[in-house]
Amino acid sequence: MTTELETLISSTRVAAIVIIGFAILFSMFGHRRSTTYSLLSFLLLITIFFATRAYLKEFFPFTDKIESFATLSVLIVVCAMIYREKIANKEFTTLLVLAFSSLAATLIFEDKLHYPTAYLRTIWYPLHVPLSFAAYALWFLAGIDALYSTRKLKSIDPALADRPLITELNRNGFILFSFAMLFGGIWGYLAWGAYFMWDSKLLWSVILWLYYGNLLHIDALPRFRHWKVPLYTIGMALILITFIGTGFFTRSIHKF
Amino acid sequence: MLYSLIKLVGHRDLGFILGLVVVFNLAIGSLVMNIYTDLYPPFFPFDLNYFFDPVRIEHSWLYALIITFTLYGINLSACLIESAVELIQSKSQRLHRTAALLIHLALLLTMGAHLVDGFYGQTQHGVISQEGVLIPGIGLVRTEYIENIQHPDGSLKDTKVGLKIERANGEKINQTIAYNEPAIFDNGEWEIIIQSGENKVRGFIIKSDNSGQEISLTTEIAKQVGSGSVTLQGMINTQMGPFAQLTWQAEDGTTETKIIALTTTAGRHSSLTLGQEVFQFKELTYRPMAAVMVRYNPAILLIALALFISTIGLIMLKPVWWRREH
Repeated sequence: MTTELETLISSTRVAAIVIIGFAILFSMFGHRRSTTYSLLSFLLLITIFFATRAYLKEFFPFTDKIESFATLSVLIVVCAMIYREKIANKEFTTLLVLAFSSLAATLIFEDKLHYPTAYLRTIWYPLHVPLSFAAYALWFLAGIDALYSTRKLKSIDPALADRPLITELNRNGFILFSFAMLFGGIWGYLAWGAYFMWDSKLLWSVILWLYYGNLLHIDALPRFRHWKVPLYTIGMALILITFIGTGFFTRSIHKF
Repeated sequence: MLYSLIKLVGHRDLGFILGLVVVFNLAIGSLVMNIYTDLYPPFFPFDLNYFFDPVRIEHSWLYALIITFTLYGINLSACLIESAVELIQSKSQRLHRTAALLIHLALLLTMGAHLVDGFYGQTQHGVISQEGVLIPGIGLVRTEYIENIQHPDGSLKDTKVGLKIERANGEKINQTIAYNEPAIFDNGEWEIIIQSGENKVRGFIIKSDNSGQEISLTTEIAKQVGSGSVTLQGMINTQMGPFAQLTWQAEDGTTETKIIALTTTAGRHSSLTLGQEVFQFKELTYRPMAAVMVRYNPAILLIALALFISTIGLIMLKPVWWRREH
């Protein structure tokens, strides 16, 4: 039974990767409806993937690298679909490529299902993780929007520096990340007696929160408004360091 | 004059630059901590005294951070006062301004709380047994029982530790702690947090074949049996199972070393002759021992206030955006 379910998990994951690949192709060639259907199929498959893992683990399925990367890919897709009307197709496609990369990265890791450790078994953990990843997705979109606007800024209209969509994405991301930090802090207090410890993941989470919180003010600061696009673009690198860098290249206890 | 000074100190441009400097400083700190692994053990507590005892060149990033955070805090305080005045005077965007004000106030409180916890907080590690441990600030703490709950594959799911606590004021409390469920005292300032718990083998019970008398043996404590005495010297695990070594001292003063298998299925190896009586191994006895961390955080009410204020601020922000967007 378990072996059959494990096969179901791996096959839904591969199918989801393939389907999101098709969604990218459809999006690149402007087949809007086919892209939508592909993404809905992706979400259905990934729901089966997560539900099966949750059943086998008897807990929320956000406790290993594979689940972390898959969660990020889902949240990027959801974010892309929500903001589809407000962004250019190339930005939408770039987001799908990011989601694809995130899900494809799960193939690097050996998928051995483990029960979550005792520390993870709390409601604060599943509240903390998806909210952080949703914020990453929104901030990624803000970064992509900034990145694609750089060419426009050089050639056309300086007023584009305002880019209200970037600020809107940042504000929504900031709210989600703030709640993620609050929930994480409560969990830290209950599990380790501290809402902050000298751990690189925690340190970089504070960095991200301060960085994006600071950027929320930039629209009201005429002297720095021309920094907006470059700073949001740099923000993507900070997210990558927080999400991947601290997990792979530091001694953080947070592997994801 | 004073208000002009506040406006100058709390200038938004300055705050923006200081915010970026703090971010840069934290990033440098993360890098340094990752390089000097001996100085910075992974996941160590937020103890600011550690960085001053002794002062080291490697900790420069932290000293710089305290300065930049202080400047940031001064700027934030001045900015808050200015924003509060603007909020009172202005009639537009009041909800939005109030939300922003609350979030900034929460940030300031959080920074203050970290400073207090960092310099005046304490972390102790220890083991609590049935005999009890006196924990300053909490009282005498004993373990009553330990229950390890496992997943179907044998991995640990949770550990429940029953504690009996006698506070300095004479109050007696029975409390169970588990992972993510610490014992909390004095409005959250003191915590006992589980790190692991185990029922350690303490000794074993032997039972007489004839009289049915039971004797509980514990390491290095002599027990009277008939006219002699028996002392458990130690226990050891072998490939054939666990064994114990005992010393039997007869009435005439002669001593004899005895070995017994600590299992009921080892036939004559699990029996023992003490004087004239034959005893059989009955069962092992256990002592519940819990490794715990005791935390004292004098800033917990401050951080709880910051949590409450920031939550209100964040909730207030969303309807403003929703209204704007639709």
